[in-house]
Amino acid sequence: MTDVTASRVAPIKGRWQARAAPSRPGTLYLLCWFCGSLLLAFLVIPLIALATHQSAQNLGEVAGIADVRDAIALSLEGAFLSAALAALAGVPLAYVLARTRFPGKGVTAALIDLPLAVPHTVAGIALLMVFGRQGVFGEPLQALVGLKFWGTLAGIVVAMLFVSAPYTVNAARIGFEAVDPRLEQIARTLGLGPWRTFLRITLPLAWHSIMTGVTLTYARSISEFGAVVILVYYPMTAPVKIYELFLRFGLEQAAAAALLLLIVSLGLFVLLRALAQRGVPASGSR
Amino acid sequence: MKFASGLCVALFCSIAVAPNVVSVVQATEPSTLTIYAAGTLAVPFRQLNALFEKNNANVTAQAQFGGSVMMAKRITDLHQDADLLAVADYSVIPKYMFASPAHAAWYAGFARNAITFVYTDKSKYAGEINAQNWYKILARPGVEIGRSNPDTDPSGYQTVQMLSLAEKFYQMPSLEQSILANAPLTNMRDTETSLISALQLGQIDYLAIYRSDALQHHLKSIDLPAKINLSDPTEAAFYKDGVAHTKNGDLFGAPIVYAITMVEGTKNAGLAEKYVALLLGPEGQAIMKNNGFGAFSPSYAVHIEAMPAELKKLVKPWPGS
Repeated sequence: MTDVTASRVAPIKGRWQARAAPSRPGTLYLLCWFCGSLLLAFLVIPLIALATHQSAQNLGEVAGIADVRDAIALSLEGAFLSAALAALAGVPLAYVLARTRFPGKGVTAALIDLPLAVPHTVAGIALLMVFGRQGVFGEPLQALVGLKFWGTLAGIVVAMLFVSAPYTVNAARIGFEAVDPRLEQIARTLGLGPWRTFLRITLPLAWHSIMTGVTLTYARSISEFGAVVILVYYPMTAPVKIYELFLRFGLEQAAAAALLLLIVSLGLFVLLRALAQRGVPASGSR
Repeated sequence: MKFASGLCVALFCSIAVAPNVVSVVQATEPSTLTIYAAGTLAVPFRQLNALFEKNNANVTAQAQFGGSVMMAKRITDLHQDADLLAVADYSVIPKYMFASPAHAAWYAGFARNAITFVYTDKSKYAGEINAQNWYKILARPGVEIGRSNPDTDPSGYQTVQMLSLAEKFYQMPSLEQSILANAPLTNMRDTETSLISALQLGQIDYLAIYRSDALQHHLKSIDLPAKINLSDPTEAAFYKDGVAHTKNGDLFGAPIVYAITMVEGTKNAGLAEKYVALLLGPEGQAIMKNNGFGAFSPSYAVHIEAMPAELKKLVKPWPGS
């Protein structure tokens, strides 16, 4: 038993050791750096082109438009709620998928990936069927609690969640699967209940993966246009606003607003990544 | 062995055929004609493209559809290569394409359209509405009306202009305001056709749209009077009284005339010219008519002197230009 514990705990320590060790300039690293920098350049150069296309003055002007600020704030708000809902419902789903066997598990896992393959306009129309004025959820929710999805924040959130939740579920599932069940069993034999085992053992070990998934969901939500615009055009989210600016004024204003959104997003992603690295705050060890 | 002999035959054939292929290519080089067109033209232009490709071997006619202003800006701002631009509102061409540096020198009107409201059996008061009482029904509380954005889309401001004209036509000062109260910003999109799904799913009851779209989507529509529906070029003087207040300033009503122009400096000028000739000629006009548009014979054009000689024969001067 102790052997097992040692061997399972070791990789976690090992990760930190590997990071602390000085990197040797081997051929492997050089090749990885070469291939990686090609992709990095491919990803970064278009963004640099966008950034250098306009002056700081342009950026300042666009940042001064209340409509643009409101749209960016609305996107961040919607994406935050979408990511929070994805975490609240997606992490338990991922845990069940990682830890239990049930008939139709393969189909369930495939269904979770499906929203990624659905064209986003189609996703929007499907959501309107269900959450619209005459939809199976839309009609009773409006009648009972006055919740509307047409032209509201709720509509923005469901559209964002639909296209981005799979990222959280998949990443969290991989994280949970990487946690050895025997670790949980040991914790149980040492007297921890199932809840405390989950909170003090499983969740902290899977935390990094979960946060990566939540960050991806958040990012995907901010950028979503196609599904959102079917349900909600006004109030405008940032992508809709950028498109409207392009139609009304042309490239300059639209690109400046897009850059503004990128800068705000970049700051948030750095923050979220840092949070993912720090480890689980609710581990109970403090 | 069998594979090897097959390979030999294939090699031989390709060597024998190759020179012929080259000579064919030299005779009529395969080329692609790119047409940027208003979204409402998608159905007739696909038919027109098929006819054009049949008449011109080795030519692919590729149309891309979107909002008229968007398509113009893709040429002027994004410098995308298009040979022809066809817009839902002729004024888009002088406004964007004539501006310095000029991307076009003339335009020809090739179809007319009208503003209407479409609805389904599920729409509120669908059983009651007709061409006489429409403006009273659309103003009733609880009716949801969809429309396109007047700040970015011609059909958006044309709808507002039509309502402004209806106010004068029916002598009912609050008409526009009370109908627009049922068409809040949440019921608005960049282009009204993206609201058709919302109409069919019962999210909205009525949708302001072009007559051509009503016909092509097999939707019930209200036949608005010609005096207000912007379909009649001879009513241009009255239409001017219909005004839409937009973020781009006040826009005054005008007949809905679709216009086409050739993009200056295109490599495919010869083909583009042929395409316009087909569109303005009897075959093209028949296709437009079959898809719910008003046809012209002959078409109107502005700056005829700048048009290619063959096209000059097909047009007469735009009234009042």
